[in-house]
Amino acid sequence: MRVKYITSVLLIPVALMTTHMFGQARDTDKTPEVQYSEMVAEFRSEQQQLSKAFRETEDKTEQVKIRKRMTTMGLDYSPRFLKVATDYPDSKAAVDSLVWIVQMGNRSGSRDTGPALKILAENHVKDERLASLCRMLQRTITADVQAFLRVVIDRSPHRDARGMACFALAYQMQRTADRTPGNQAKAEKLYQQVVDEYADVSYLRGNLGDRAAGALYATKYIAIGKVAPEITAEDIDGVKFKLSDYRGKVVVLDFWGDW
Amino acid sequence: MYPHERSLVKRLEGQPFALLGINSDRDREALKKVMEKQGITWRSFWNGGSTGGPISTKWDVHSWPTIYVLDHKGVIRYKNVRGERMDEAVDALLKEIKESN
Repeated sequence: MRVKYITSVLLIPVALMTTHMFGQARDTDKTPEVQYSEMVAEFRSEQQQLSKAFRETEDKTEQVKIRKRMTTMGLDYSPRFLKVATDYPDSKAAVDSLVWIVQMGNRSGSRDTGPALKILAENHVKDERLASLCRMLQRTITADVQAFLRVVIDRSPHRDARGMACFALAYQMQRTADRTPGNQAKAEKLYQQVVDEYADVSYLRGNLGDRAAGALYATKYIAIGKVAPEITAEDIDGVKFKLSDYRGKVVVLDFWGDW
Repeated sequence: MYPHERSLVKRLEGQPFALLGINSDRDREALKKVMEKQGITWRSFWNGGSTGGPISTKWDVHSWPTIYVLDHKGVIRYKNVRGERMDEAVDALLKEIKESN
């Protein structure tokens, strides 16, 4: 009788604690997919409210404030998406959430991007959506992104994802060749791999093979220390002229457009 | 971009220096008006009316603007220097010409 009494007294707080902790820690009633869609909807709704407020105010200070919120608001949402991905690592919503974080971080530099890429590489490398993610990450030159691209090249079962990762990594090596010795050779090797193995994978309006072949030509012949290849073309008025007409002068070549 | 380039061209008038564009706009006539309005006096190669034109494709240029600075022997010496760094690059190369004479 006495033993029973003690047990029930002890059990009550434990039961309360359990409900309290898990009730807050995760929305057990909702599937991860529902949680994901609700967060996306909440984010969009805040975005819409902000654009409406921006249009309706004429106060410059207020406009600056709203614009700042719009560019940084993703950072507040990222940890919540990361939580869905870590609570339900095998769900479809996990990949959606991680992709959301990376896309958002690409624009506003989220500190959750690194962890998101790590989880994607460890648990979801077979997902076919990684191809478009790799394309998006091409110009985001960070160690996290490069580690991620290497895992996709080695382990994705999808050719287009491997090809895109290979091309994106080649691009990053080329862009950092000036400050990191050795990256030039790595870029050339990766571009050659794209030409040999992934030439037909589509990219923008063309394919990866043409882009990689163009980049290979450029890394070999249009690099610092090389004589610039000749340009012969018309000027804006239709008069033909050549780059070599300007030999003997220092020349700034500016690829430009009025847009 | 235009104001900086205008002042660079003006500052180096009479020196062995040229600013050359490779223009990828679509419409030549519209471009001529822009050039007049913006005081763009330097010469440009016509990239065929598209960012996918023959010159930018051969040079593997996919972001605009892209800048190359060549020395008097036609060797590529700098890439994507802008503003003050462009001025410094050009001045250093002009100094090389003087020193080689």
